[in-house]
Amino acid sequence: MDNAWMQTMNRKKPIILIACISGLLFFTIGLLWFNASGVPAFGPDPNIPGCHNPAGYTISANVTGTISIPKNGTVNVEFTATGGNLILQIVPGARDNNIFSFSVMNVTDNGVGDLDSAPNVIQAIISITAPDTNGNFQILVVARNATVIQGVPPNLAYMTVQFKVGTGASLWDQIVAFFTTYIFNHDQIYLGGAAIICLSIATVFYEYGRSGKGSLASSKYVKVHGWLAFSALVLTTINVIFIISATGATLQNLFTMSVWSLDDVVHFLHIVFGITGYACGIMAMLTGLAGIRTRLWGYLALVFWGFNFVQGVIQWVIPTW
Amino acid sequence: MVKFKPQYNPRDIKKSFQAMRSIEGLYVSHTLVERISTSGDATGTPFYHFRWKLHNLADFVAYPETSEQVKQILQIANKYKVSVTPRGSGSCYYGSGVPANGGVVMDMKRMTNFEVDKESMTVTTQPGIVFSSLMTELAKEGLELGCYPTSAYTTTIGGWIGTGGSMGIGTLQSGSFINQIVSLKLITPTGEEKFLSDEKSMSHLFGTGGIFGVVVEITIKLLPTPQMQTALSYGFKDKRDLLKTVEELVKTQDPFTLRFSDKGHEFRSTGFSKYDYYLFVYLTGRNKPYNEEYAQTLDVITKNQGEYIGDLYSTRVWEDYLKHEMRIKLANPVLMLQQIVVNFSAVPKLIDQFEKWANRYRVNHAYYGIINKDLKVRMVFYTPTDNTFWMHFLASKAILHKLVKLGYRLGGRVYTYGLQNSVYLQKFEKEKLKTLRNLKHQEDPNYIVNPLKIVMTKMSFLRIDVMFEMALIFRKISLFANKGAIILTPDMPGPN
Repeated sequence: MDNAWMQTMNRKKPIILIACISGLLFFTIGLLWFNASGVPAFGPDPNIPGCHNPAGYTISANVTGTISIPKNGTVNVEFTATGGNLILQIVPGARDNNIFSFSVMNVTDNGVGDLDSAPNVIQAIISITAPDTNGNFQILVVARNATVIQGVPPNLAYMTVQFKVGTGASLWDQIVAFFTTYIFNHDQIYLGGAAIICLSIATVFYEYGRSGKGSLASSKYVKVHGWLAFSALVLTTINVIFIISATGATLQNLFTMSVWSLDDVVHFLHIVFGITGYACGIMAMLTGLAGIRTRLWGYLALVFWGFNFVQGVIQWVIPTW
Repeated sequence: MVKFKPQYNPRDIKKSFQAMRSIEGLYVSHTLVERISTSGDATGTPFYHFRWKLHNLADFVAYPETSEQVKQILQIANKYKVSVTPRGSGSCYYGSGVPANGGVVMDMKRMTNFEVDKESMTVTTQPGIVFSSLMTELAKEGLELGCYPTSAYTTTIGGWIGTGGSMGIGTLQSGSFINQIVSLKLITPTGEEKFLSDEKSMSHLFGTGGIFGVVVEITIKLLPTPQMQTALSYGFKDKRDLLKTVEELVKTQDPFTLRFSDKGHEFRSTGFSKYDYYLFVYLTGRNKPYNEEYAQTLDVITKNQGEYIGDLYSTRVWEDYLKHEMRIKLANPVLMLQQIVVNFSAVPKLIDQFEKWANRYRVNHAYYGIINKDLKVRMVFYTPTDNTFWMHFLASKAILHKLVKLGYRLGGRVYTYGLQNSVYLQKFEKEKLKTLRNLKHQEDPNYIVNPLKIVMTKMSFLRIDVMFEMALIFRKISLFANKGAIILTPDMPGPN
């Protein structure tokens, strides 16, 4: 092989590596900046749902703002929905729907509970009973096409109703709720994104230090690299803890399926890469602590984590592959 | 506790360089080759320092020849708050002469003048002279030093003061180097001159790597060369017999020096490996009738199953004694070495554990011990390795680290602190550290001389402890998987 070419490549290698990692880093920061999440976002306007098309459907209620209600108290809320082949639904499991009791969960057009006899309009008064717990809660109600075709998200409109039950959530509960909802949540971008940022910066530091071009003392590179990479691993560990039970259920589900869709394949790859990347991260930490100079594990972790992160983001952008 | 923060300002370094250049007769250089050559030492891992710690490189080098120049260097350094690292030959294994905070390295090796006073039986010398050079000159006058380091071929007088000078050749008979010193002249870190003549006022200078100032003149006691001298080398099959002999000889006889070693050390230093353990004794008959001492020594050794190797061998060992350390160093890509001072009673445990760990992790090992009259032993453990075999290299360092921890648990300490071993002082000798820190604060308020050593260290004990423990686990795994490198194993012929 041409010696001059090799020399040129040797010189360029760290620059290419740093450029690639920096690219991933800026991509991640950009996404964080735009508050991205792995869950289809509904957005602040209930009429702009994320992956679902709201075309042809509307929903409203006779309440605004937050409803204050005592513990175990009941309140009647009147919902009005419009659309073809219509159903008004309290979606089980969505938001805090499961901890409230409802007089009715589904109201079909002109079915039981529909107070408006006109077609394509549902007017329903639903009695909502609060839980025996102080706190701030949110229920989600949708108006959608009653017919669901497998693999096709139904058109729908949705709305949320806010409740303050009893004394409401304490400051501590609100903080915990904020962190569990937004930060310590595998479906959000923050843990994974922060881990990718830390690991990318750590790798850039490492490569920059190795290239011998740094103006900082090399020992500082090592220290900063070590702390950032360790932080990335801690963040990923938290991320893993929050998804571990769901992963078990998903895998169990996948292994019982006879045919996998592309979505399932990608999800499976996400899990495999997640496990492998995490193991590589652990190895990188152990070898780093042992003073063993190998870049293999750190780079593998970065590649796997990077893939999963990008894949997660793509899935957010294109919910169905 | 006093906190130190050494300063590093390139602009001030430049100004101090210009100021030092104007000192009359002083050679100052900032060529890269001189900066590098005066920034390392005999440590087996120079790349380890330079690669990871760019600040361990001198910004420039000054070569003083007089005490006045030393004084001016320190005054300028204080003015600009620039670190000064005094340096002898750099033959210490622990980075004592390494400029851990950059600045100026003060290479003392041009300060080699000395003057013998036969009447008072003293020699007054500058600190940069190498022991062997001084000894050669003294021998011409029929004189010798009471003690000197085992690395006397390379070590300077000032260097041995900085690294301790407590356990070398002759210290068994004459006591530590400090006992041989009549007086010394010190330039304090702030550039003042001090004359010290009693042991108490000098003691803080010994083993502290020059952090309390630069010794510029030393008056040392001299002894007449003994009329009768005999070197005796014995082989032992059993370690217990060897140690029993050593203890008995020290308690009942008065040899000039005594060294015991294992086969690994003997083979690497002399090429001989018939026995598993060795004893070397040098008799001078200085404090006891020679014939009596000779006969009693032989009695003790033969009673404990020691087998005489021969006159020629014994003489050769003595002639080459000072070359052994460097010979071993040169014969190996990297020589990791640790010296631990312990009571004699702790030696068997230390040796057994060293052999056990070395065998468990399949690293090379060898050791020898130098003993003093108070039954304190300087055990020198070393592990020849090669840093291109990284796991082997790390494991070699790691077992020495474990051994130091064991040494402290057994009531011992490291022999020299320097750059690398200061971390053990911080961890295990907190009272001593406190005293030294307070003294340093008084003597060197600007924290100029030899910073980031002894009283402060960049390393964390926890970090290196975790690193070495983890490294040993990986070494064990690699050996288990048959992937662990086993290198530099000497082909030592056995007893037959």
